[in-house]
Formats: sequence, structure tokens, C-alpha cells
Amino acid sequence: MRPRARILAGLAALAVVMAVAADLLIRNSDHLADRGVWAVLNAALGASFVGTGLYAWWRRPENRTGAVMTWVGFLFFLSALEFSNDSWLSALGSFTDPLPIAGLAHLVLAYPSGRLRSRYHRWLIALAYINATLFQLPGMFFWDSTAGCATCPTNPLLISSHPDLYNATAAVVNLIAVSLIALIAREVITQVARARKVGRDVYGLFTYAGVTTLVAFGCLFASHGFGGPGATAVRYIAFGLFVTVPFAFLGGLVKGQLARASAVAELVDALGHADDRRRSLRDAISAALGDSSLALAYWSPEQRGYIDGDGRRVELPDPGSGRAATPIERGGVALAVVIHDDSLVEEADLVRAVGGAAALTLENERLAAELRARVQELRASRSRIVRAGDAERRRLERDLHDGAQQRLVALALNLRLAR
Amino acid sequence: MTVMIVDDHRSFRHAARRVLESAGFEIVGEAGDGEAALEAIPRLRPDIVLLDVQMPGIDGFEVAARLIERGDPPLIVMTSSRDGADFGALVERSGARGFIQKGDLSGPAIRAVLA
Repeated sequence: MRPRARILAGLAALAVVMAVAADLLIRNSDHLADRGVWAVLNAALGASFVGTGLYAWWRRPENRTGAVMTWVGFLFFLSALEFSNDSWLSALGSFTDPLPIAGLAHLVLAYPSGRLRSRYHRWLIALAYINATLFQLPGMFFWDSTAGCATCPTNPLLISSHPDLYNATAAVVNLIAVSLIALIAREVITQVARARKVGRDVYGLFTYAGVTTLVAFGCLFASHGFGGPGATAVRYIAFGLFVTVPFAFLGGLVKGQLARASAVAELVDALGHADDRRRSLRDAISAALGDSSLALAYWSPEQRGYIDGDGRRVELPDPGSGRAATPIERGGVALAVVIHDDSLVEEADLVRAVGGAAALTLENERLAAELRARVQELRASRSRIVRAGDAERRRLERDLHDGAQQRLVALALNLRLAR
Repeated sequence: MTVMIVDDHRSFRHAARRVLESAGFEIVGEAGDGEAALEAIPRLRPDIVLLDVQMPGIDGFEVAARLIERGDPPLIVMTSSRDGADFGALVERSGARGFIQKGDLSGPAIRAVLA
């Protein structure tokens, strides 16, 4: 067993233990109304997140999404501590309860690479985790858990019962949570819009499910102040949506693999029927990768740089410019680069797979581009020769003007006088 | 009327002098390039300047432009061995009274241009 496989197997075993423990906590809770519903939710949510997370982690270890997904599953098991009859475990559960929602925000914002892209994003998620845990602490000092709930365990952190103060701190925490959800949703929607602009819809169902779930939780937090049966309904809706997230992810994974397989097949087919080959090679690769802004540049050993299909030099995009370049090699020799949208960076292996399928045609194109570069150089040198010829002709004309022509004019004038 | 001939070819200046003198003009001076012409014209104050277009250094159009810029310019007649059509609207725009191709130079031609 390889080390990574061992870690994944260990995590799976830990998840089973935690799922059983959470299930026991829920079923034996003295202060939980719908024990059956929560037991099912616990099993479905925790297991599906850990399951899909570990699968994605195993299949694509370089992508962190699987790890973050697994993390959300574990957070979900931890959140069940709230239902414990033990006063300390139950108090700890008050801090772990909102963690899965912070984890979901993390997962949605970091998709598709699983890595948060900017400092701003890292701040948002750090604040989400802190708001879910540390910011709950002040309220705990004033929360009498047994008020109106005789079976609830006592709050060991209680200093003095103060419902108004407790409600005020809870309102602040909820307000921060709602604001964070709004900001995160805005970031995700901006990313989706940007990817759509170049025809790359990498986000798909998973992102929509994730954002919808976050918004549902936002509504839940906002409704806390009102309470009542409406809040309970929103709670069930939010958790119900939560269950769809890992399945949407799984669906996207399968769909993506199918789409990729068919894209590569279509590419190979398109290369076989190319009329204006240069354009259709770019178009075929662009279609296979789903990036309408894609461009190809070929390596020219002579110019020690990349050139386009017409033989002109191409500068590779700078990091942070929103464009990126993936080199395609054949037998360890640089062949070409695919210049594409930044969002494809996470799928460099796909770009290389598509580039590999087109390698032979790319090699042909590279040679043709190099030939065009030479023709251009030849044309430039010819134009230099023509320019030199022009200058020589002008010099002759000037000499003529200065010499013979003037004498002829003078002679004509003199002749006219003599007549 | 007094005339000054500005041309970089001595053979043409001689021929032009003979043609114009025989037609009754008084030649008050000659210049071999634009610089010399600009220096001599205020001193000699000719009525007419026969000005070659193509000269080394400052060309005829530029000489005409500077004369007009100074104010109180003489009557300027541009000339060249080339056809006037080669210069298009440049002659008119330079402020000269007209253009005579070198081969057509004669007293009546000058009078016709100035009329």
C-alpha cells in the first residue's frame, strides 16, 4: 500500500468510527426532538461528504477539493457533539455546530482547485471559521441552556443567566455569518461569470448547489431572530440542500470525465478531417478544452522562442495576467505552448492530454510555422534589397538633373535666342 | 523690371540671363542656392525672383515661404526642368505667382505669369 492510500484508508476508518459515535450521540440524546431525522441527516451528510471527498482525493491527489470535502464531512460528524447529554461535550458542540457551514463556504470558494486564490478569500474563510467558533464564546457566558429545556445538559461556561445579552451576541454572530455568506456568494458568482465569458463552465451543478445551500443557511441565520415554525422549515430546507452538494460534485466529476473523453475523441476525429488545418487545429483544441480564447504558439529552435502560425514571434503571458501557457512536449522536446484562460491551470493534465493527442499535427504545424517565419525573413531581406535599389535609382536621377538635363535646357534656351 | 535669378546651375543662370535681358528685363543679381538668395534679395530688392525648385540645402518652396513670411516679398516665379504638374498644388501654396518650365522660359512667358 502506498503512503497516500494508507492515509486515505485511515481517514475512511476514522470516519466510520466518528459516524457511529455521532449516531449514538443523536439516538441517545435527551434533548433532541427529531432524533430519527437527524440520525439520517448525519449519516447521509457526513458519509457522502467523506466518501466523495476521499474518492476525489484518491483520483486527483494534486487537486485539494477532495481533501476539503473530506474535512467538511468530519466537521459534520463533530457538529453532533451538540446533542450529547454530557454538559461539557454539549458545550463544546455549541462551537462545532456551525463549523460545517464554514467548511462548505471554504469548499465552494476554493473550487475547482481546492486552494483559496487570494488573500481576500483566505481572510473571508478564516473569519468564517473564527465566527463559527471563537465569536460564540462571549454569549456562552450568559446562556442558561436549561431555561425552557428541563432535559438539556447544563452549560458549564455559564457565569450568569442573561437572555438579552446572549441574544445580542448571537445576533452579532448571525449578522457576521450572513454578511460573509453574501460576500462569498458574490465572489463565486463573479468567478462563474468570468469563466462563462470564455465559454468554460467549469463550475456547473456543484457550485450552484453549494451557493444555494449557503444562501439557505444565510436565511436560516437571518431568521433566528424570529424563531417559530418558519425557522424550523428553513432549517430542514438548508440541511436538505446540504445533502445535494456532494452528489452534485460526484455528478460533475463523472460528467467531466465523460465530456473529456468525448472531447479528446472529437479532437482526434477533427484532426483527421482538417481542410484549413491551421485554423481547425486551434479550433479543435479550443473546443476540446472549452476555451474560446485559446491560442497556439510553436517552438522555433532557430529563433529560440515561440512563434504563431504565421511565423511571428509570440510573447508568453505573464503570471497574474489572467492567461497562462501550458507547454506541450514530444519525446522531451518542446513542441508548442497552449495559451489559455487562467481557470484551465487546474487542469494542466487535461491540456497536456489534449496536446498529446494533437502532437503529430502540432509537430507538422510547428515546422510549417517555422517555414513561414523563414519566408517572412526572406521577404524582409528582399524588401531591403528593393529599398537599396530605389535609393540607387534616385541617385541616378539626381545626377541626371544636376548634369546633362540642365545643360540640355540651357542649350535649348540659347538656341532659341540664336534663331 | 528688375529680376534676380536663383538656380544652382551656372549654365542655366547664363542662358536665363541672356533670354530675359533680350526681352528687356534688368538682371540685378544671381544666387547659386537658397541661403545666398535669402541674403541677397533684401539688399538688391528685385521686382521679380526667378526661383528654381530643386536646389541643394533649402529648396525653392522653402525660400518662397521665408520671403513671404518676412513681408513685402518680390514677385516670385518658380521654375524647374520638370513639368509644373509634377509639383501639383505646391506652387500655388508656396505663395509664388506662377510656374514656368525651364525650357519654356521667355519674356512673354514671364509677363503672362505676372499678368
